[in-house]
Amino acid sequence: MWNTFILSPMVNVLIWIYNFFFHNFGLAIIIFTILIRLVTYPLTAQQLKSQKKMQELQGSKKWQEIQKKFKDDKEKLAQEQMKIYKEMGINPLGSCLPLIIQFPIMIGLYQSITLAMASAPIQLLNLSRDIYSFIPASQLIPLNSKFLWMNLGLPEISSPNALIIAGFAVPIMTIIVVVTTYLQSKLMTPPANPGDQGAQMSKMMNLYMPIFMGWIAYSLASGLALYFIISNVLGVAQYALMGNIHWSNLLPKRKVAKAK
Amino acid sequence: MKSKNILVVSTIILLSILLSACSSTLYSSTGWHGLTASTDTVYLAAGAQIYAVDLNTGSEKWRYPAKANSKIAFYANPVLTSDGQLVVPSYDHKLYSLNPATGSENWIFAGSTNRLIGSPLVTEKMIYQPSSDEHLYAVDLTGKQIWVQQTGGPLWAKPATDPNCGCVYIASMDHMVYSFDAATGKQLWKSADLGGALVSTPAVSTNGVLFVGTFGKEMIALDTTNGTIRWRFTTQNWVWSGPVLENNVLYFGDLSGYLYALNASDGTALWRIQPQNSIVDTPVITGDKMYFTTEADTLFIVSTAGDIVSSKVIGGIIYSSPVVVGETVLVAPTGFNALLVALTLDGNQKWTYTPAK
Repeated sequence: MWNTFILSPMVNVLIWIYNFFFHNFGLAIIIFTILIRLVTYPLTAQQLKSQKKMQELQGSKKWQEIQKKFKDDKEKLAQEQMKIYKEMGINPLGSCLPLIIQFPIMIGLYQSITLAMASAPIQLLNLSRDIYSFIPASQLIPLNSKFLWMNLGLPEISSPNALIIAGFAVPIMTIIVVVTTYLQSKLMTPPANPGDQGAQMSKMMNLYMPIFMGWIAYSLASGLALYFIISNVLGVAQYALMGNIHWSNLLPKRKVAKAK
Repeated sequence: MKSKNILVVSTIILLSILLSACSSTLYSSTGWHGLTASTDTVYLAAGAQIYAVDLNTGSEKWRYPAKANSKIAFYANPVLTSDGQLVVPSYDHKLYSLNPATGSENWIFAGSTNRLIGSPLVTEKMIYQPSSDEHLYAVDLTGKQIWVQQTGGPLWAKPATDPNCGCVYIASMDHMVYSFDAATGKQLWKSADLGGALVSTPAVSTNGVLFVGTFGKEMIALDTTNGTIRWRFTTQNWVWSGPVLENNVLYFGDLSGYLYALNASDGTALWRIQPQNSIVDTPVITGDKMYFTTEADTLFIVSTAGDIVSSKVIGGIIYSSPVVVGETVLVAPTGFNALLVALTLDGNQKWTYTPAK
């Protein structure tokens, strides 16, 4: 099921792009990422819409009132919140869905990259069975896995041309993944409303997500790190075009002096 | 709020573990077991360790390294040298030389910058090790590099040699076959693009013809003096199995599961059978019988005339070529509880070997 509907189509699209664009797998990943962003655009737009509505709702007087009124009765509070969501036509999971969808894509892409790179015999055997007949596999295999200083099928620090400083391989892509993920999270997070329960959660995610993505980029195939970087940059660009970038989040916040 | 933070951190840690589980730095299930044998010992390269097993009893003699190291992975067939070394390539880019009697380390060659997937060709004085870094390394029997030559693609196939020309042939995944001077490494010729990647060891005849299977669904015969094509034979699917040449007949399988017998002189088909699943291994011929495995779980015994004599279900998935020593057939399945199964020449089980934890 997973192979038929996710892995095989992804591998074949990647190899098909590779065949058309100069037999460069790095370029194929970049184009593939753009395609993924375009395909998931309706979800991103939906997420943004839901996020805005949710923010407006949480800033509303009605919302603040029920928070106060039912602060000691969580069950009743949840019921009232659901009622308001229904009234305003808001799906509370609407802003999470695109994020959830990213994970199968990420796992599928990781598997596609390692499968397409086929840097070991069993992977190559599996690839031979997954390629659709219209792709000239025998002419294309092995795919050229070199891109910049990386071997895209291997973790960056395992690439033969990894940057070595003082005897240690420097994970440049991992550093860029951490930085771009952090910037993306900061720039896309809307300013919190007073009493916003999700704000603390967002703060935590903004802190841990770059570390998580960095760890994945460090330990898995460097082709995946390339996907993360391009995806992050495109994400920021997409939000900027939609007028939803919060540049102010990057500025240091002044602490409001407590009234004496 | 505190419980929500714990939930976020736990979710992220769980996802990290899940994704890291697929890490390419773990070598399990990326290759199949390598096998070789002397008159009394079987040497099995089975991932994290190499095992020396008594040929008669199936009892373990030694293992290397004593404690499994996930950074090392042995999958290529080990090779015994004439001066008493066991040479084993590893996915950690290194070539290990061990004492076959004790498993102690002689030397390690660390010149490669990528995985060593193919077995080395060993001659009286030299070891020719192919590497996924596209280079063929020639090292002497002390592990000192003598020469290195680059091709245009990863090298997974074991090189072949021809004593008449003092040269080494290597089939590359860049779709070409190369011939190098065995002593100096000077390139003598390279073939034209053969239309598909080459991962199998070529067979070389005594009358100057080299035979190699390709992912372009062909078996191709080349002139060993200049690499020009003598004939081509179209197969049903990719040819991974190295051809074996016996009495001017070539025997090999393809990924559709066909086993072919061709006239080596002109490439005409003598017969073909399709016993079961994909054939990845190189058949072994003893007398008028041929032993080979299929990707499913079965060892087949076929006559050189193309008749299935018998078959034996082993278990697991079998990619590795069987090894025949005296009256024993050795099979190394992958994904099975026993790493090694010993059978009589008729296919009756003698013993199995499962390493103690």
